[in-house]
Amino acid sequence: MLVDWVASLYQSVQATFVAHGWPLWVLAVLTAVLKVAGVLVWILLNVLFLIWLERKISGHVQNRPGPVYTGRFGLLQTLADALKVLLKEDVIPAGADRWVFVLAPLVAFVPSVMIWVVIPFSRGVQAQDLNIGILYVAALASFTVPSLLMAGWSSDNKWSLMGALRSAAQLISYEVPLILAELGVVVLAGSLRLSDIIAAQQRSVWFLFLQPVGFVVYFIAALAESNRTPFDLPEAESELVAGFNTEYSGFRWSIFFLTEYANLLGMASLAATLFLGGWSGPFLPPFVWFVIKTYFFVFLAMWIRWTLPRIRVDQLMDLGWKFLLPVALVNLVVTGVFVVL
Amino acid sequence: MGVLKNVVNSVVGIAKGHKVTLKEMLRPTVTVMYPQERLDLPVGSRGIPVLLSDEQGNLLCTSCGVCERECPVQVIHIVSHRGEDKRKVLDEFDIDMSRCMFCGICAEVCAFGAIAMSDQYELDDFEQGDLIYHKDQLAAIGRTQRTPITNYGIKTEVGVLDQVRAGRASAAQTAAAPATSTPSSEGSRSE
Repeated sequence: MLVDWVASLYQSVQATFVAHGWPLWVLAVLTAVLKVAGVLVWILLNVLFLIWLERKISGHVQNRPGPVYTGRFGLLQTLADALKVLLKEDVIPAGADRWVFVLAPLVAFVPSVMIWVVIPFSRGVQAQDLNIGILYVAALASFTVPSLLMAGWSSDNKWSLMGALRSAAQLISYEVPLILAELGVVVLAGSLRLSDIIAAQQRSVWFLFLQPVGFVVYFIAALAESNRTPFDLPEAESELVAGFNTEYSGFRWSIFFLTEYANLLGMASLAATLFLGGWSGPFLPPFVWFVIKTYFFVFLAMWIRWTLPRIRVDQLMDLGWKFLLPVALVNLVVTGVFVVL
Repeated sequence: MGVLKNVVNSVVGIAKGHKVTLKEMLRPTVTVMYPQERLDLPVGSRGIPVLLSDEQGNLLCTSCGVCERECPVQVIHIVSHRGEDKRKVLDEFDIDMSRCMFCGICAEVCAFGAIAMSDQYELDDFEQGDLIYHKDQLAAIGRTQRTPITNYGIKTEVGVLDQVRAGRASAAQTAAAPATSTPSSEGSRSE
């Protein structure tokens, strides 16, 4: 309903532009700015909630209540924290490579926002329905490596550099099974376009049931991609202080933090789209289904984070190359054979 | 087959771990919201040492000075004099709570059971001098004893420490009042 209303609004505005002879590129720019604003608001609100949720879940796993004082159930805790972080001094280490140091958080953050260009929130609610949707997401995911390397290298700090090198090794090894797992879905749907993938799931069943192995591989690899425990080696607190963001503080650190949760949300919503049929579902409005499915994966990721310990570097490589990669390859081959038959 | 067994084992192990965390997640929390609620301390937990009195309200202390000698950090200060009947009379009994380490030896060595470790432990104050607790204050807390001595410890009434501190503050005020204040400011204080 809201979608229809927005669509009709767009139509009438477009008609007005045509009637007055105003240039249409102004309209294009306006809609683009509105879309970006919408995505940013969506991400920021969700990240505020996610950080609160993470703290609540971690608290309850350890029989603590988590934040309780700020607002009802401590819901405003993240807001207070954000305010605190923004008021902090902006420290750039003396030995740091200034430009790279300043750019690194932005290079990390922008791709995590750009993923939302292709994520379908509801029927027809999608910033841009690219025909190379999955490829686009995979390309953006690999942006994390340069950003972390930039952060680690420019900090002029051994812990940062160690974290950055680890992250490069980790992300490159896990990108391969991640993309192979996504390819299984692509083979089934016969399209890289995310709306087509959802349509294919509406025709048959959720790809979770057709691609259980692919799903497991995707989820493990996605956890590794978003640097979450048990794959948080790049920022392993107990070994590397804080890894690549050791030297970051205040606003720049908060951007890294924001990116981490934006990535988690992006990973979860992509998992919901690829394996649980995205926004499609009975009774409830499509957008509600999308949120429910996304938050199911978010909860799963948080549950895993507060259960499993961090794995060792060599175990990480073993899991990536010796297990996930062959499993993903076999899965892809079997899927392909079934589709052809 | 070894690989497959390995995979199955790790999956089972991971699933077990998640079962545990989910169960803990759904259990009620054990946190005590400290400033709002406080745990009831068991008898024998060691708070500030206090002086006990008999039924008539007289201190049990005979000013023998054992506690003063045995105190490892030497924070007890006793002053006494011989009375009419040659018995010692306790004049001063100060404990410097800023250095007391709550070992409980004073209560342990007291032959007359005149010292006990109370359950009062929130000793924060604004003046260093106020951390020296005098005879009357220690006795006032001791008179609110609610339980018999167990492991050299007793329970006292809730909030008695605050009352003793408030009494000290008002005593200090009245002592300072005649010298410094005008009638109007005295009026505002009594409100």
